[in-house]
Amino acid sequence: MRIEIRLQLSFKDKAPHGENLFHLEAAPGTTVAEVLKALAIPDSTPKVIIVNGRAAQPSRELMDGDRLTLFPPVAGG
Amino acid sequence: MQGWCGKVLWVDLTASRVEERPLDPRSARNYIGGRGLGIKHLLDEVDPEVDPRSEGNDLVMATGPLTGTSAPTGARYMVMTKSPLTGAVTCSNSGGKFPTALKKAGWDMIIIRGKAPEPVYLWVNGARAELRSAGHLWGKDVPETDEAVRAETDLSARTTVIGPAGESGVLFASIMNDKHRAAGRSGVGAVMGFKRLKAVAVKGEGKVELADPERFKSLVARFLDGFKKSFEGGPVPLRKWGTAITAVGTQNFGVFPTRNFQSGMFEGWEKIDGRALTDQYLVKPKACFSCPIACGRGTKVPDGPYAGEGEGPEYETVYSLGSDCGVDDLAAVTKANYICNELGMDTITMGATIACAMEMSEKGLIPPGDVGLGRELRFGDAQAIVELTRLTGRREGFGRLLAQGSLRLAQHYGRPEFAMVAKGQEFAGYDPRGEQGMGLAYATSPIGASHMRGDPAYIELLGVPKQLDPLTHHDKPQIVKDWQDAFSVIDSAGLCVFFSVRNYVRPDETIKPEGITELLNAATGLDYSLEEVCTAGERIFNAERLFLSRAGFSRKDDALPARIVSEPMPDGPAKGMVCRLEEMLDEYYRLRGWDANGVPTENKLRDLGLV
Repeated sequence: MRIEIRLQLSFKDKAPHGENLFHLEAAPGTTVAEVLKALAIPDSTPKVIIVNGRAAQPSRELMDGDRLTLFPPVAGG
Repeated sequence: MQGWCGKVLWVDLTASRVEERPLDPRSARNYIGGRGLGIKHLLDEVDPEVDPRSEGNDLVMATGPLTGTSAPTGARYMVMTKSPLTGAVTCSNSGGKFPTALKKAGWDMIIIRGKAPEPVYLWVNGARAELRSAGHLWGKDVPETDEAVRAETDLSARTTVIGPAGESGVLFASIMNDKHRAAGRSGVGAVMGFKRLKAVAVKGEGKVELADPERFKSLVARFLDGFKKSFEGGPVPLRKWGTAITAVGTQNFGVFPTRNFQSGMFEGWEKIDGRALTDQYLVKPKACFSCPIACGRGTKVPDGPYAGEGEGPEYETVYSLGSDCGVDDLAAVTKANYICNELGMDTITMGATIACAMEMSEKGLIPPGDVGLGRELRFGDAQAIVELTRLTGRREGFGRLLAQGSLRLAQHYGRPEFAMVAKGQEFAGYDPRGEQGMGLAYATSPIGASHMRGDPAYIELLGVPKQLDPLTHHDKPQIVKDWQDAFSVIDSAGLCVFFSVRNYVRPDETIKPEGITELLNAATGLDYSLEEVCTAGERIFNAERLFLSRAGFSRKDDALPARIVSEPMPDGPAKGMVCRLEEMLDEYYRLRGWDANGVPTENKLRDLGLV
């Protein structure tokens, strides 16, 4: 299956070819945690995970065509 | 007393008299400081039904026991009064260096009563305080006032002042300290202007006495160490990009308010977010006293029609004057921000009021001749936000109407539903349709819409301390209550929310203020339990609600505009959503121990020692 990945802010450095938007071929049932591992983003690194516009957990199983967005949690008013 | 100074400065402007009174130790323990002692004073001394711009309304400037200490972000003070914008209370919070100077001068609070016959300013030189004539300062903008007052008192003094907007009664006038920091919201500057108090200057060179300095020092080291480790050697994001980087989160979740909340997605977001600001206009990050974050932005627009220099914009400003007005010109947003700072106005209400005017103008509800720009007012008009901000701060032309805020503007043209407000105060930069908890927080905040009286954005958008789905509503009432109570403690201790939610609280969704309890005990020598501090937070929040109830507020006022509760979000991740406020309110009132009309019950008030 093919998933779309968008890395933002400091996570851009983890992009395999320097492009912050790319596609990844993965086996059906691959979880977000497995994608994070493949991108060498440690579990301990604070992160916001969005799948198809909704907040998601690392245990989320991805499906063909899913859009995964990752960025560090930065905010303040 | 330790932690606290034990002294309150009472200023009677009508009688032109200043007086030192002791801080009541029992009140200090039960209400901590800042916001807590502010509402305690208002409840005890001010008629909740008083006209906010009358001599019966008091203005309180209150520090906390951790203000002016080495506790990271112990730099804050609170400005509390009855708001001329909303008729509710204000809790306008600011940092910088003025609050620390006040504490180091030996004062926990200043209570300002009455109205001066002629303009005055207050000069606090350590333990001595006096009122001086300010006739020659009236009409000066914020930087001019700061410089003039310091020149005739002491150049090392710190000031908090109003600009022309506060003098002329702009209903969302701010009180500006250290030139660029704002006690921004709810029109505290209009109350100060009514009182004819132009400025407060303070020189404080003392030291905040701590009960256990060694213990305090080791706690500070521990919190700073935890803070550094959380970034794994990388940059501190808020220092690198400023708060405007928040747009990354809000845009991705589809809650970045756009064109007066007609959408949660702004096509020009990358032109106005924190990265754009850093790349184009950042001169250097600015820190408040004792702050390791430095989220403040020293900026400069070097040339072009919007050239200028100052501080800002924050995230809330790139929303209000940017996306909410459909403007993607960061130089114009920054310039309008500078004008707000110089004339002394809240950027959130300023931008949101212009956005409201833009929508009503586009819909033909405001005649073009009324606006007076020589063209139709439409979304995306960068020049208009700068011109209208200037007109508002000077109360000229159409600015006289804008100076009333969006609700009164929309009412003037017979269509109040176009004002994106709760209790008459404009929303912060989060659309509640895609962030259900924020909707409940806006509706139940004691000051009207605010993201800073319990900010669910951390837990709904950023996974701090854990991630909840922003689109669900059933799990939000408990969270909102817990966060509101925790923020009451943060605001009362004299700390900043940004550091506190990640470093001073228990890292679960309850965010109980464990670290703050430790610091309070080391500072004051008291033996607060975590439970007692949590109860103090709940007491403070309920005290504010009690003041509101006595002023006539109830469930009918815990409301959001029709757009938010009945018009589905048209696009983006939150497409099809409305804010399920009514369903959340019932559960929220139950958790609070309030009746179905949103009024605190006798039992709850008795439990908290409020009757």
